[in-house]
Amino acid sequence: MFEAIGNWLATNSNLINDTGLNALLALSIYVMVACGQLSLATPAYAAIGAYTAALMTPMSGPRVPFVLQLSAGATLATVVAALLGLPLLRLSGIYLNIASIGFVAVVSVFFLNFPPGGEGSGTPYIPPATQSWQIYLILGLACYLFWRLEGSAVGRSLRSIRQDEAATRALGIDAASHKLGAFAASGLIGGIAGVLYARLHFQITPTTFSFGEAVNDLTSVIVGGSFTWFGSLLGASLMTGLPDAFQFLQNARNIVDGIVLLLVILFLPGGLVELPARTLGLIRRRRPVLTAPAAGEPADARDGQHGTQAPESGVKIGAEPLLRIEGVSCFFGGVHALEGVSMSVRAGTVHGLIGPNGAGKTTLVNVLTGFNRPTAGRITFDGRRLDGRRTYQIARLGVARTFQNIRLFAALPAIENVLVARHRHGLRRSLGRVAFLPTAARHERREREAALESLRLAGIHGDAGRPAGTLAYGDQRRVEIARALATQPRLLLLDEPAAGMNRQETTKLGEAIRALALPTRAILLIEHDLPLIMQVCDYITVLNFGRVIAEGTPAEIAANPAVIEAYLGHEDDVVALEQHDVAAL
Amino acid sequence: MLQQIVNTLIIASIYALFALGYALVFGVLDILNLAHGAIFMAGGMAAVQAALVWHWTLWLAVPFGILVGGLLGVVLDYAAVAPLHARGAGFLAPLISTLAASAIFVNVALASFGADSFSFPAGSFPDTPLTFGGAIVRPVQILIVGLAVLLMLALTLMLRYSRLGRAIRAVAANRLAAQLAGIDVGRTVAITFFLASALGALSGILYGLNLESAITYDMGDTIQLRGLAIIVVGGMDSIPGVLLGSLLLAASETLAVVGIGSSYRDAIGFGLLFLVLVIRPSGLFGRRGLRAA
Repeated sequence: MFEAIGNWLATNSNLINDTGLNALLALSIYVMVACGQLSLATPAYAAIGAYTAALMTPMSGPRVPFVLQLSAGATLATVVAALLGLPLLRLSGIYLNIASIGFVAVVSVFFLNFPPGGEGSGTPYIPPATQSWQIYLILGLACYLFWRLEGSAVGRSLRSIRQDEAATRALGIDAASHKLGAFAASGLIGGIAGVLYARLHFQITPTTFSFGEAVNDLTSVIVGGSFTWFGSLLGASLMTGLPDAFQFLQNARNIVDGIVLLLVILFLPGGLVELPARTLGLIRRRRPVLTAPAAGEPADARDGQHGTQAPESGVKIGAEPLLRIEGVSCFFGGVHALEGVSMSVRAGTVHGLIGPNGAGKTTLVNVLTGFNRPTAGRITFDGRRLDGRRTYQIARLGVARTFQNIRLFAALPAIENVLVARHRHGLRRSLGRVAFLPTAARHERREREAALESLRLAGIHGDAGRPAGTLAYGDQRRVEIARALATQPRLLLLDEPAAGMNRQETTKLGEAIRALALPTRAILLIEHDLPLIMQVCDYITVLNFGRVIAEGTPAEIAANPAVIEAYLGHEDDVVALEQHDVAAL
Repeated sequence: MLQQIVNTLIIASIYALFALGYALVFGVLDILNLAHGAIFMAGGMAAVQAALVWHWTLWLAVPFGILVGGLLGVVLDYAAVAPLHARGAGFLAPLISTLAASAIFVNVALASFGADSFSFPAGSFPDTPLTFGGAIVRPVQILIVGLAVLLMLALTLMLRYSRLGRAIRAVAANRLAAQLAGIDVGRTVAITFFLASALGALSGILYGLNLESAITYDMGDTIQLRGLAIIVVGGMDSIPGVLLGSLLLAASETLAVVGIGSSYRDAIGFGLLFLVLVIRPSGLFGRRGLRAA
């Protein structure tokens, strides 16, 4: 029997080697897809690796040892990938994709004319050196890293970038560095595959490393499944093995490839790895289940919990304002969304921000969190300037926000949404996980428990492993607040949290918001729901047409004629508002 | 020199007709149709086979090729794009599904017609060269430039003034609102695919009429990438952008061939694309959109 296996291995060594190399190339694409950056530059990295190896293996004279060739090719490809990534970071979606295709074409033309005088006929004969075991050793190592990192903080951050990059940055995660790291990793793997390829085949030609190769690798990733590294492995094996198995079809086998790809993208968006789970329901992820808090649990248990989360602050209650906004303006072309807005928010208070539609409330939140740059003015938070800082830096200083239109990582489980927000030392912890450090495992367990606890406190019951996008609307709002709280903010910006909630839910939300206003934390609440504002706010600022038109306590605001004018425009409706207030107070 | 300018104009015309299809689909659906190169091939291949095998005159073979291309576009929409849109998939899934469709089209052509290259039968179009102040121009090349100008104008006018054009612009601006306004969105998108693909097929046919042995199963590969470069430079979905992008690409390719040799020609186009994306992600002329057509 062993002999039979040995024979099969020997007669199919080409297929086995190609499968391993294709799996590496597919992983190189997968790294990018995993963080939502559809870069197809992998063939260019492979070409760089391959030509490095070819140059180091002259026909005559001394040759560089194979291991050094591997390191040189890998290093060069990594550096090139990072340099490519730097300008491409700002591009998104389709533009990044097109730019990477352009890069592949440029590199291909470069090698077509390389070495000068070679005239595109490829390199001279390269003595083979790559062994199957070397390919599979490297592939095994790569798979190990993918396996460990996918469940780590880094893996989670990349997944949330794929879902919603801006929301990820608002949680204090440096999305740009993560994406740059993905570029480098993609280059590293592609470069290694290139060196192995060059020393496996006798000759390399630039046409090998063209757009078509990228398409093949992408096909492997998608057919196998683009939501886990294992999909790339499965896809590469299938797409390398299938043409062999369908040899009797001759020319038609490429048609079969195309049909398989089309069917998968139409009917199995998660790739073939999902097939068993879909058809048999055999594979079930272990999902943490949340039980409802015991009835009558004291409300101050919540305070205690959040109290441990809020970090120390030098600011004393009621003394210096925690947040100071001075003369902030924000213009979009000719539109003056904010004009000379000045206001202060004190720790320990819930500060309401109200105003008619288009008054500039959300723009102010965007300016505070670095989503928009102010045209003028200064913003000071706990003695530090916020204007000019990047979104993730502002989040790390302790400013968290929710979004008017919920921006959860819809495809990720609710618990992962919260876990992502807790990644302060993501890289160190992730490396610990790679090394199987017990401290990393302990830390991970603690984090999961804490995340589950905050979901439970936010009132989410049932399946915390369900994709967040499938939760009920109100639950999604609560998960978003829990996610913002997990960053341990000292300033929490809530952008219309009660939108779409009924009166009863809104009242409960109001109580929760009150409980969140710890002595060291301030809450800026944007709402259209006036009763809620009157119920929970200590102080209110009113915006209209980008300017502050009034500020004061709820009672003062309710009596302010300018506010009534802005809101209602009619003297007649004043009575209605007053009745409203009386009811609320 | 004059000859170079004339050549540039001819190449730019073929590029422009091809890229118009890209731009139309991107403008309406915000997706890249990576099967557009395969449809370019399919148009040329259908016309040349009709002329060679069935001995059709060009008057029949050319409309046949255009029709084949246009219908393939509709098939592409129904089989590979519309279902994904209905599912609310992002830009990635249609990119891959059109790529898969392209692989199917190209390999069907390879299986049916082999790896041979085909030319339209000699004399099927008057080929007495004309000279304009030193530049030699064949009648078919005048036709190419004339058609490109005419169709670009016609498309602009159609988008601006016709009922269908308004429907297409409405869908491009806001799918949901268009639907609420009583526009049959699915049908409008299918028609857009038909128009875009018919333009792509026509440019494939003209490409084959212009050059000997130009029609092969893989003729769409290089123009596919050039089309990308053009719409990126021109701002993805504007007709004037396509015109300027095509002229710019054709001119820089001609200059590159004259200046540093033909082997670097492809690098010029993509170098241009790369630079534009990095420096001005919205294209040299900004994204104007079909709405502004």
